[in-house]
Amino acid sequence: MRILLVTVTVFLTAVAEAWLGNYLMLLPLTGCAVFYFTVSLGDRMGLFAALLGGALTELLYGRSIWLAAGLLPVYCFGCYWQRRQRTGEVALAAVPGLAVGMLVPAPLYLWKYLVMGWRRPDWMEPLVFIPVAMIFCAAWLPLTVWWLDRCAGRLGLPRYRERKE
Amino acid sequence: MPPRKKRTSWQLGYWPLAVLVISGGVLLIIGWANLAARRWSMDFAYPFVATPSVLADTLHDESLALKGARALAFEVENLRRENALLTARAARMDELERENGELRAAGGMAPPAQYRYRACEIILRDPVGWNEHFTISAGSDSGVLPGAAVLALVPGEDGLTVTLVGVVRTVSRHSARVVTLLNPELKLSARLPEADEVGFVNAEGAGAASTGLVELNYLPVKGNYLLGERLETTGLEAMVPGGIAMGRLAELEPVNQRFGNTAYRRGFFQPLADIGKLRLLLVVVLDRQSEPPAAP
Repeated sequence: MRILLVTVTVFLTAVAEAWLGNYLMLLPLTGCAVFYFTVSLGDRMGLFAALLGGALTELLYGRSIWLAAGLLPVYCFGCYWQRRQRTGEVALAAVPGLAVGMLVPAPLYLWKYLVMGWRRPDWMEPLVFIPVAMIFCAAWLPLTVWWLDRCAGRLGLPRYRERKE
Repeated sequence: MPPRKKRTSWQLGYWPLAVLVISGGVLLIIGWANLAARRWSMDFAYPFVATPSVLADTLHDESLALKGARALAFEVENLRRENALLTARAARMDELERENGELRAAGGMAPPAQYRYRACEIILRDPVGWNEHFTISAGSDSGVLPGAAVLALVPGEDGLTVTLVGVVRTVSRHSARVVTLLNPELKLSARLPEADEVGFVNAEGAGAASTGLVELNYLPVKGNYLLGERLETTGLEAMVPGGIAMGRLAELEPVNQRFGNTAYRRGFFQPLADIGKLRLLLVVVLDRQSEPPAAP
């Protein structure tokens, strides 16, 4: 059941992210889902979600990088958050949301400038997109937690808010 | 007589050889799996990915019904006029093509490869690589092959000009991934007809993508280049017809003619099309009746 929930959620968020990306909106929906699963379902399921989500978004976009470069930092951050921080309140998820919004696009831009050459990178693009993604994730992650906690509750799976008190 | 000591597989040299063979096999499998995964995912995800563009097209078509009869009649009249102009241009091109065929036959040259153009649209863009790569709505079922030129129509000095935007990199059944001129992965030859010299796009891969300029390497130092002069395709690549406009020379790196010992210089050109704003494109498809072009 865990694998089914993770697979379906990650697939839907990856497709939705690709749709939004088509309108020049870099909104890391998959990153938020990966963070949620890492905290609520543990390290293994988090890693599975990160690899699956990373492979899906990269294949959908036709990027030339592998190993979910944008989602593995989110997975590591989720592992840290699960062990060290409180997850009791839904609204508190806005704080890691800010970090997720930065951790997903930052490696992608690093990769882009590395591949494209550092000759004349357009710094304005990440300077606009990353803060927008951070603000979006600060609002989106609490919604993700609220919605996926409801689904997990019905399926009898561990919930984000009950993970650590 | 002591028994002869049996030599190990390491001493025989089989073990390192086996490691080499296995490593090569693993690399081959990874490469194949990578390509297969890309194709499979493009096919599998096509209905999901294409949904927004299908919806937008449907909405656009339906919005025509909201227009008044007078506005529609005006648009039809304009389209008829444009159609007549295009028909005249096509007739002129047919005449030139026939003449070219006769001249080639007289010179004992093989007939040129025949290309067709298939209209398609961009169905998916990556916000991180907005200008560098995208996915189009034409795939192998439309006859698209890897390496095929992707063109756009842009307003030029005398009506619309056909310009090269990029080249197809991976093809699945219904869609294809295109790398654009602004992507350092795309390497092809380019001709400067006014200077009568040939250079290579992105040959060194240093890139200048973010400013909207494309790197042009290996321009002979002796050439007389003019900033703003036109660049076009050479026709040396198998699926890229020659003579298609690519852009205009925008920058040239200075060369110390007196003391320098370099034979080449580097320049940058501005693509004719604004790649970030394109939606409708043309992709070059090989005519089934003609022979596949041989790479020179």
